[in-house]
Amino acid sequence: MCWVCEAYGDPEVENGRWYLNPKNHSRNMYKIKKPDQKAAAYGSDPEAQSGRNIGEIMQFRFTDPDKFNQLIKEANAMKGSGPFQIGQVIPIQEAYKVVEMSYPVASMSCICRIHNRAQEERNEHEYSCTGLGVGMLKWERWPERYKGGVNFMAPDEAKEWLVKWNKKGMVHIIMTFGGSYVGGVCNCDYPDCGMIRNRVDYGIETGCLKSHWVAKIDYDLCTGCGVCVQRCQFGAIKFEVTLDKTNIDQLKCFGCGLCETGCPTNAIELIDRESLPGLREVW
Amino acid sequence: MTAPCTVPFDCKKCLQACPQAVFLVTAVKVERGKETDPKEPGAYRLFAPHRDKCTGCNDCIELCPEDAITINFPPLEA
Amino acid sequence: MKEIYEAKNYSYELNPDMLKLLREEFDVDKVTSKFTEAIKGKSAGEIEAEGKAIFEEYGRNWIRQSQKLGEEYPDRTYEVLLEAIDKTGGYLRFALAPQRFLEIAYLSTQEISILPIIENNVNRLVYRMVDCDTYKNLKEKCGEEVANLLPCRHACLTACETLHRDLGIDALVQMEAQIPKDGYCQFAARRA
Repeated sequence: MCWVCEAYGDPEVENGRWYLNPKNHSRNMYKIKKPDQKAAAYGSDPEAQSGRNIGEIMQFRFTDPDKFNQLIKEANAMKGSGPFQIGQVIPIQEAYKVVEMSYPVASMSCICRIHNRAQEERNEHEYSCTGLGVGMLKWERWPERYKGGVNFMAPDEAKEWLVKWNKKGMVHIIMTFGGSYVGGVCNCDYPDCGMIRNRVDYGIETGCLKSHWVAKIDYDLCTGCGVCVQRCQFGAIKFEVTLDKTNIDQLKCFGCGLCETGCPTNAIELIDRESLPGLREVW
Repeated sequence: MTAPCTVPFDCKKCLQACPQAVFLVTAVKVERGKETDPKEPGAYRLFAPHRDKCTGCNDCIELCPEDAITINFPPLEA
Repeated sequence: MKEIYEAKNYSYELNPDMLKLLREEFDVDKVTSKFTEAIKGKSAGEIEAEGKAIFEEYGRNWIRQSQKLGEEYPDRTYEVLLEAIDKTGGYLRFALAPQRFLEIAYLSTQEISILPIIENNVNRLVYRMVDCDTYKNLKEKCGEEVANLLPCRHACLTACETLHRDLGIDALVQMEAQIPKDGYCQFAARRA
């Protein structure tokens, strides 16, 4: 079973999916500070804290590779209580459910793309990340990191927005900011996405868990056109010359559904990861 | 890097050209409610946190107008 | 391209002067003393009726004043919330608009640093009072037996109902947990 669902899901709500449990989308708007309490340099910003934690561990790649591998192993074993934020890939169908329930939903600039490709996103025509919840009301506090402000979207608008990025080939990742608190649906792209990169290149699992789904191909419908091969960011799909069809390695598949939404002949469907005995513990 | 780059966010050539995306640009000091002026010297700093993925293609060195990038691979062992 | 190199000194937190005004007017110590006076020598049935009368009135005034002052003392968080509601449609002002006034009401009168919000989405607003000063006050002044009848629940329930009615939001308000049994009180407003 998915360990995040085990810890934060409600079996009565949406099949126990943790990110569709309204409790993980809820937070107070205000906090009374004690008079002697001083704000930390980054405030009580779990994202900044997580960035510093990751930075510290990543340094060991150069100074002490054995220690680096050990720390990654330990961090993965600690799951949600470790130094990394929890993130999980979700297909667009589940992203729809998230933006229908959560409020507010807003488009905003992607912090990873600013850092890793100097890709500035300064207005709603350029924004590429989706923020959720009361944090969006205070987003403009750190204009440096988020280019100030966000663009609020009604649920239908938010769905169109998700479709736009899905068509372009972005993977949707549900991201937490402190414990199980869901703060966004990122639209992600390797290699500039920190979460996908940390998982694929360095084996840090927590921030980019595989989705509850896995892609399955119908060979009768597949024409071997190769669209899905282009859309997969996880190296799970290749064109198989012998069969003249596309081959999906379900062990490598992250269940993002980009191949499914891109397939011109509807030859790919997403099936429940936990219905396959060989995959139900692969997250 | 020999001399630290002073204009990473203005120039961003290396950041966008690197096939391995080894670079990262970040503001040195983040202030609440205030955006860093990219024209202020030294406001942003360039790092190469993913330099373990560097293949030595030298594209960044050729593009860099500041001659701020050097790549050091250990010599082949005899 | 918007340039925002100038620092903006917005406050995203509640105005302390507003909280002080509310705290003075709706001191839980005062209302629990009033209740304690009123029930002297009364029977169990009369205690419930007195509690209902006193705490309902208190709850109504408390939330109405919280809403009034909340509008008079806006903060940047509220301004942005109003922008969001304006952009996404008035239907979606539930649950965050009522949540703000409830946070003002509880944060001004209780010794808490946050109001625990269990759910706040387009369908439900659920919040919890764990270490309640009103309950503690009643226990001290009237004894555990009377306190465990939770006469004070009328204040919370009335406040939550009044607020949604005043905001023109059709919501069903329920009490989902009670301190004597569950260790905390929990109130839920569901969009009707």
